[in-house]
Amino acid sequence: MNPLLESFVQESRENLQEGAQALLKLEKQPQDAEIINEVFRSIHTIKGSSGLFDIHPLGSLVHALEDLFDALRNGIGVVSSEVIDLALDSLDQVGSWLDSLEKTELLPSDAEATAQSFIANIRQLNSADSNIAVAEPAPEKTAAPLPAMVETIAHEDRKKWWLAKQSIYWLEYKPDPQCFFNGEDPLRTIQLLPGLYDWQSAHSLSAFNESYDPFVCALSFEAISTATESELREHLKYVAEQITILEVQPEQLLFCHGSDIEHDALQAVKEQLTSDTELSKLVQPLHSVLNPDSKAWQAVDWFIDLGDDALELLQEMLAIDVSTAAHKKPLEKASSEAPQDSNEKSSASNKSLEVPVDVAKAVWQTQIELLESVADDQLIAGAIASVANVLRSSVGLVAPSQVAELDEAIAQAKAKVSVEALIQFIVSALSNNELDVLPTVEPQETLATALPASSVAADKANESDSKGNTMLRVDQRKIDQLMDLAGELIVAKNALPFIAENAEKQHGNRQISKEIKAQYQVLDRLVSAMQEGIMSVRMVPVSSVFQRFPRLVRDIGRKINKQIDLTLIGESTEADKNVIESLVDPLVHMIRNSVDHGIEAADERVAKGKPAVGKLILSATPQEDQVLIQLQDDGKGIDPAVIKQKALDKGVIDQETFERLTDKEAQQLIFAAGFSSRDTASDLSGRGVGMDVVKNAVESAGGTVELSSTVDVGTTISLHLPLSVAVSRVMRIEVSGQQYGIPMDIINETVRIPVDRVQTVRNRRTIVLRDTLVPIKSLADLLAIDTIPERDEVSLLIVSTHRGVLGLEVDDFLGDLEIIQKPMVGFMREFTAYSGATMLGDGSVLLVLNLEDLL
Amino acid sequence: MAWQLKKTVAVADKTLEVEDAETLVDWLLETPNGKVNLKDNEYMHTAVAQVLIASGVVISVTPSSASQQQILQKLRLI
Repeated sequence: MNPLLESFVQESRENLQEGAQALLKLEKQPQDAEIINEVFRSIHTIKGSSGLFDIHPLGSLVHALEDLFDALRNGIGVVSSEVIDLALDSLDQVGSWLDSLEKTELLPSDAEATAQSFIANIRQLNSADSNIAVAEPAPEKTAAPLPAMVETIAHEDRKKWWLAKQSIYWLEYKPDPQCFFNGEDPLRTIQLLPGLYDWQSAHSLSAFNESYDPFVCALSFEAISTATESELREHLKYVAEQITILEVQPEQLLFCHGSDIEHDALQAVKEQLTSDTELSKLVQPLHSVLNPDSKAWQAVDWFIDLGDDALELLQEMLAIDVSTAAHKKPLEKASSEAPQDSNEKSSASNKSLEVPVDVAKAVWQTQIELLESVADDQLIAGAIASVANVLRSSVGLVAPSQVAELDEAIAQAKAKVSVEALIQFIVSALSNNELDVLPTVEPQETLATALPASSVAADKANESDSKGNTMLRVDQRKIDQLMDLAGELIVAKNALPFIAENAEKQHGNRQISKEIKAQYQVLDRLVSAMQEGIMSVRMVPVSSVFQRFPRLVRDIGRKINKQIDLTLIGESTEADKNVIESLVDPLVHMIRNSVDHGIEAADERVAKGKPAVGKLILSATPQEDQVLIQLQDDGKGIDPAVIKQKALDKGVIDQETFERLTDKEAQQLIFAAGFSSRDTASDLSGRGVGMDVVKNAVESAGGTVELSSTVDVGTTISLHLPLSVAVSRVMRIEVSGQQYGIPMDIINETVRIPVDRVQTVRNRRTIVLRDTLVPIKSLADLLAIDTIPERDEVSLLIVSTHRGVLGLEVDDFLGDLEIIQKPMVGFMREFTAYSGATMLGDGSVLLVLNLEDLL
Repeated sequence: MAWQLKKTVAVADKTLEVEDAETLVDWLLETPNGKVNLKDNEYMHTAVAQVLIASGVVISVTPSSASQQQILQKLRLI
């Protein structure tokens, strides 16, 4: 598979997961803007990366979703359950396409049609939401607020486009930080934009120091263009995913932007206004007396040219009628953004300075060049004198306040015969903001104002992520291979004690035997450390499995109309990746069973005095070399009498067993194959396969299942799983000359007792161990091999199984051993009494017994 | 070389490509009070413009090219 595509699939899966989780959170807190942003970011990332591949349906679907959440985060529309459902379904669809990409590197042939159907639904929802959002005061002004940059377009240009009924386009270009490596030059792209009217930039540059990376693009741009949308898209087709284009329709250009003014003429007009005044005649004179930078003048200007079309605007500007609240918003915004000091007077005074400042600045620039070009020390004095003259005449004219500063610079330059002081003065004079006609804004401030706060925050987060992220993605197969090698090493290491024994017993060389044993200790320590190291790489938090369950519970709950609150505990508990993966199916079955069978319907719960909302708790707890997964519900519990009767009816148990079974044993019957407590199977569970599957899956992963239940209180199912399935410890025992392995995790202890302590109770051999009656079974009998000859003492393995604690009689204990258990293959697979086999250091095979099956 | 690196001034050539950003970064880190002379510059890659913004270096001579001057004004560099 193409490594780039592989990486896209992996990353997109993570983003899908994050997006789905955020959606579930959003369903509970629909007003939370940060969660909406979270969803948006996940979708946005998938969309951005999808542009690299020829997977248009996927790209267009996530694009439509992105639009929907972009609108929501801009306050357009509301987060409804329809939005959540559709978004979750869309993400599921994207997930299934990712599966397809992983298998075939292609999308299914019907992907385009599927995408279009989703997109149509999303767009419908989006437009419906837009209507909801703007339904309140003024239906005609429904669009999102205009970008601030549009509001700065000169009045005459807006009027020109309005009269020509021409739309213009605002676009935002957020280049990918790595875009330089693709040969992109965003600044150039903006310069060459067709119909470019104006542009501005913002940046999120890091501090300039040794770690500054010049090849990370941190500039973003906004531009206004008069070209058509298709021309723009054609020009930007290689960076399409980094661009947002917004059409600004002619009618959206009809607003006033500038300063508020108080003027006698304006006041006079206001006073003369009556309901039947002919406005055009009355306001005409204002056009010649008001400052064109003021909103009032612009309103008059619109009105003179457009007549009634601009009437509302004029009314508002002149405060004639405030009932037209619908038009207020953009205007209020414009006025709040107007510079505080830009009244008529200061504007006029700036104008008078405009020409000389420009000329003076050009002259000063030339002086710098002149000073820098002087290479000969003998000419410096002359150059200083010449430049000093020029500066004196121009600075006095344009910036009289800086004359004293200039005199000082000239004196310094002459004294030191150095141009440095003069150049510094000119540079400072050139950057004197007071001389500028336009207010100068520091780049840092512009960043904050030009970019939405959330985007700045997101960029910062990305930046810190990219710096702090030192994770390495490794193919799992490579780690599995390492794990296998470590396993082989363990087996090879196990051969050393045999060799040592041989050296001593067969060759009589005790010294070599001693040295081999010493070396074995070193090797044992190193191999164990290596194995632990590799195992820790494979450890993943259970959250990777748990995360899918809130969605599952939500979907099932909605389907069968039950309200269920799922709580996840201990999500950060870690276990081997294979163990975690083996958990998925059992947990799905368990949760389905709990929701379907366990938790009662709301009315039934209320009648029982329980809260209407059912409670499910899924927890993970680390326990030495095991992890305990528990699913607890507060449902109706399992009634042992009902279960026993069903089991008898279905032939799962016979009459004798029916009578003998204790309540606890009866409850365990739900794990029996073919058992289902429901009369009719639902599509969720109830086909009698669920809990059976759970038990088998957990046991094949080397774990055990326990169930405890109380009627009308609830049920708890506990899964004890090994932290790792790769290496296991067994006790080697001997029976009739044969060696077997028994998993250490079920062995409580080993005891040797005199044969006369064995008693027979109701035809069963038992012993009393610390005041507890423990039944004894002979392993030779269970395996149907030669019986153990009579001895003075009995060797017993005290084991815990699903049948309780019992003593397993063996001939001898041979010590414990770390093994890599291999599953039985071929016809041996049918002998379920063996869970697997391993090779011993002397080359012989050790069969590992499956006591649960044997007993 | 796109930059003529003098003692205190880096003089730009007509065009400044992406890789010239790195040269400028190195020079500016070695020459903290250095200035740049952009008189002849007619084209500047985004990466170079970013260095000028990030470093806050003094532009001792602005480009002669009107269009280039306008770009620098828009970037609030002059």
